[in-house]
Amino acid sequence: MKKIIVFLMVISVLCSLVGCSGAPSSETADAGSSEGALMPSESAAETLSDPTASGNVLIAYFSWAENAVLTGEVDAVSSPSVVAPGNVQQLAGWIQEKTGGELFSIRVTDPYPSDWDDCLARANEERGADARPVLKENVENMDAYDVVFLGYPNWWYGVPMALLSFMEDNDLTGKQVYLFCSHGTGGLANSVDIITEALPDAQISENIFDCYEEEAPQSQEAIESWLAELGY
Amino acid sequence: MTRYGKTAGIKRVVDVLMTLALLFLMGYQLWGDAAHEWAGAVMLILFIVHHILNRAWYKSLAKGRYTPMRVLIVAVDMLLFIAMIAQMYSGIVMSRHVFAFLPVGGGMALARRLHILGAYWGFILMSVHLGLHWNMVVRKVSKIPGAVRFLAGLAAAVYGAVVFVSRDFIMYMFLQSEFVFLDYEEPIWAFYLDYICLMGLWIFLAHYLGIALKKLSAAKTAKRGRRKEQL
Repeated sequence: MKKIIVFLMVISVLCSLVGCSGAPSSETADAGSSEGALMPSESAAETLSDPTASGNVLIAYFSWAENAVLTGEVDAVSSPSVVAPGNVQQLAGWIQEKTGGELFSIRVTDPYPSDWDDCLARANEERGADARPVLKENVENMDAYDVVFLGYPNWWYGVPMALLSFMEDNDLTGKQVYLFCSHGTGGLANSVDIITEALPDAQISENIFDCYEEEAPQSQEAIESWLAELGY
Repeated sequence: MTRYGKTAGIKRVVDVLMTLALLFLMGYQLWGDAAHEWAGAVMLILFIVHHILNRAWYKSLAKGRYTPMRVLIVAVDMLLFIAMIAQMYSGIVMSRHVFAFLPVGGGMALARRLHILGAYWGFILMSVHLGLHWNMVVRKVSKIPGAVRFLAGLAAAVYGAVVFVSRDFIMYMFLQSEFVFLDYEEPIWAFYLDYICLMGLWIFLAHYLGIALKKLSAAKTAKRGRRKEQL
């Protein structure tokens, strides 16, 4: 019995050695992410001639592309887009154009690796620890909004933990919330339940927009017809 | 031909528990992370106990003649062993609760994919493994006429074949998709109706293939016997 357990442990150690070759260090963390990402809320504000015309819409979204350390060598084929504009970022942009709302990019202080597998590894750790990654900033005047579009990618059959940080640090009580999600073959998975649980006092619409990550760049029409259904 | 030793009863209990554990594990999205991991840990223990109880099988591997049926059993068991080890390893690497204390840092990229391969191949192989030893179950229900058993099996198998396609097993078995589509809204009964029938499909195929192979071997032996008599 002991032998078998030891044998299993040896195998697992060996395998993990093989697996963990090239995890980029996160030392270069803060440098990369902020320079590429334009300050979305500012640019949105500029395009608005009349702030009240926005219908008090906030578009808060988490995009990996705005939360990653770009190392230069990115495998764009087998993973969601880590190069700006990210999948969710792009969807958020179209929602902004149509609704005239304000964009808010949910960004963590400690960005994720730009390698998809390494990123998922950290995301898995954070999920296990039920972590709340620290956000760079929160929405300044949450009271000014009645409607919140909340966008995210599917990470590990759920949401990035930063989305939970956002929902806890920013009071969405009483807001009308619309969800939009970019995902792989896993679909929406458990994400809607996780969000619903985190926002007991918000009005979450059952009309959710979701698309496959590889189709996100061609989803402008789809998202516009979704917005039309919602009355935008 | 009673081979019931002292451990026979324990063996059957372990086999039944492993089957239940397998079905529980396949419904990951229905039970949640933590329960899935604990069930996996229980499966690991059952797996080890199953091997200790059946260690004689390994000892006899080098002995005796290899009939087609025996080749099939050994091949399936070897593959199943690999699938189980893959599941244990990858499950431990990805663990967020039960094995989170282990200092396994890397290997996530491999583990994530391995767990899909091990789950889908493992489920099929486990069902085939069950089917190749189905006589143990048949003995228990021998009062039910063979024709009735066959028809019930056939019905489950036909529906199981539909499930095999509709649940994209081929896609996951060849890793054409790196994330499994998990329907968190699906009723538990619907999920298990599908998975039990899918299990039934492979038990059915393996069981009747086994019978056919045995008949084939018996026919050959008989022929050889007749030829000897004629000489």
